Amino acid sequence: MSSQFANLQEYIASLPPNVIQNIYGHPASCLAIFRDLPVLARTIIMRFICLPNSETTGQPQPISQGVVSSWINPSHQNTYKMISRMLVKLGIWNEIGTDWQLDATFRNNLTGAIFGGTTIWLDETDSTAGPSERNIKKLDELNTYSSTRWDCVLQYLVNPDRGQITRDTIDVFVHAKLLRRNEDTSSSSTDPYTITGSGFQFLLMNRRSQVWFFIINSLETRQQRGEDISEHLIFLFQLSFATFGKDYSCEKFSSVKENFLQHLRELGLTWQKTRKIKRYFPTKLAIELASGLSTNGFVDQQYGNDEIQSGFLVVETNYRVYAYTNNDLYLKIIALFCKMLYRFPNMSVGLITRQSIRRALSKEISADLILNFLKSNAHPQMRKRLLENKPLIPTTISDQIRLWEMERDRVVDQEGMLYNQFNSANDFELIEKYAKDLNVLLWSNTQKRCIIVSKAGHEEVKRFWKMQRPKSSNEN
Amino acid sequence: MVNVVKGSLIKCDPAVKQYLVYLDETLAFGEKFILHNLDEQHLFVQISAVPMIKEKLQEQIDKISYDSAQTK
Repeated sequence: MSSQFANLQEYIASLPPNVIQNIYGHPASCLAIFRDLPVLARTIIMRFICLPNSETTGQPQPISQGVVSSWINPSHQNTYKMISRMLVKLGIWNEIGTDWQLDATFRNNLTGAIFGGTTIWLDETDSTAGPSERNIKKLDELNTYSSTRWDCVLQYLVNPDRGQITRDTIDVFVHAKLLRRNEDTSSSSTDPYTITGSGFQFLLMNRRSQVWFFIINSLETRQQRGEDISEHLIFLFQLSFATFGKDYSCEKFSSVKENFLQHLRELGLTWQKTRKIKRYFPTKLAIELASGLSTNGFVDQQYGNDEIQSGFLVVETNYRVYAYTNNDLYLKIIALFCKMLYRFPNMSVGLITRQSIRRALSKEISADLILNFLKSNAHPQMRKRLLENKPLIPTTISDQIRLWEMERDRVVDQEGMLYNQFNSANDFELIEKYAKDLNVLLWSNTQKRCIIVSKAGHEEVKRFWKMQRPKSSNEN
Repeated sequence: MVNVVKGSLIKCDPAVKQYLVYLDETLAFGEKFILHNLDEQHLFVQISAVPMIKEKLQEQIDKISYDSAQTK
């Protein structure tokens, strides 16, 4: 699921054309998208930008496709083709006859962004000076704030009975299918939602991917609600050019934008002392967001805490799981599939039992997910097993977890129609072949002259048989 | 002439199949539910019996499985 819109370009390309046009109306979004493009695309666009607008029409000057293609080394024509497709999809380029023409709004705003001359993007009135000695503590506070807030949101996923997050955020989780509404409300459990398999996968992603995935789903939710998301997108792009540690004014925000700002505040993307004070600080989560996931991984490592990076889980053949962490979130994830026995200040012990695994399985957390989690967080001590050519997780454990999973579906059932008592082998073969061709044959046996056709295919096979019958009975 | 019967195709391992045949013979659900005994791994049964089969099978598995947590 993380593959869904892995980068900014793909997401922008998936938006409706009018939204794309709207966001190009602001220099920040043009520059953010521009800097995310491949080098070749950027070079081409720069050449286009340097051309003055056509004197007759006042529009950007079109350049013939042949000329553009001649700029590129013949051995890289494939890259060029890929890039032109991408630019068309992003609405940056338009094909006019045999010419390429840059989108006028995009050109004007990108020129403004690069060469200056546009208004200030974020309202900086009365802003404190940039990062200084005095503000260093503030920067740390901002970082801590953003990660506490985000952890809080994640904790809700694991433990939905704690109502620490707003309706908005829950809606996004449900929209993204990370949470599922419990249909069975009569049972004693009071949780209105449970985590889904994809919700569990979401927890396993790194923070950047999580925020990216979440924000995209949040925008989609708002889009469904009929909100115009172009304003939010522009705001997010503006934030990505903000200075970390500087505060900005939100005095002139519309109520919709204010609402979105509060949503970002809840997620830890912006910090605001109180709602009443109309100043906010963007955190690193917000500033790094707009570059999507394409940037290199070294930024990720700043976030994850050290013990998570190096792994903290030890799994023993006696089904015990030792977690050397005091991170609440990770302990709660482990508690999803373990029976927790002891908790110490820096370490907790859990036991993998048939019951605990079955409980996880019933929440759509598959055996593979559990094993992946155990593997990706394995303690360095566990990783040493690999040097001895042993699997990371003891085979007894991994096999048993898989067996417990398989045990849940020892029988597979499919509704169908059974045809038997055929008069001749010919009739039997005719129907068998027909059903097989339609891909509706579930089971057949020549000796017993018996065929089972799926429920969906029954009507079709029946019609075929009625058509064939007079002919075949004549033959007999 | 061709005979057409409505039902559910069940695919399972031979051990489970034998258990289902046993359930059928002992009239565990009050009546016979197996329409056709197809082969080692396949049975053709009444659609209404499928949920009951799954429930009964799970019960049986729970009964015979060892859980290290329960002994404590």
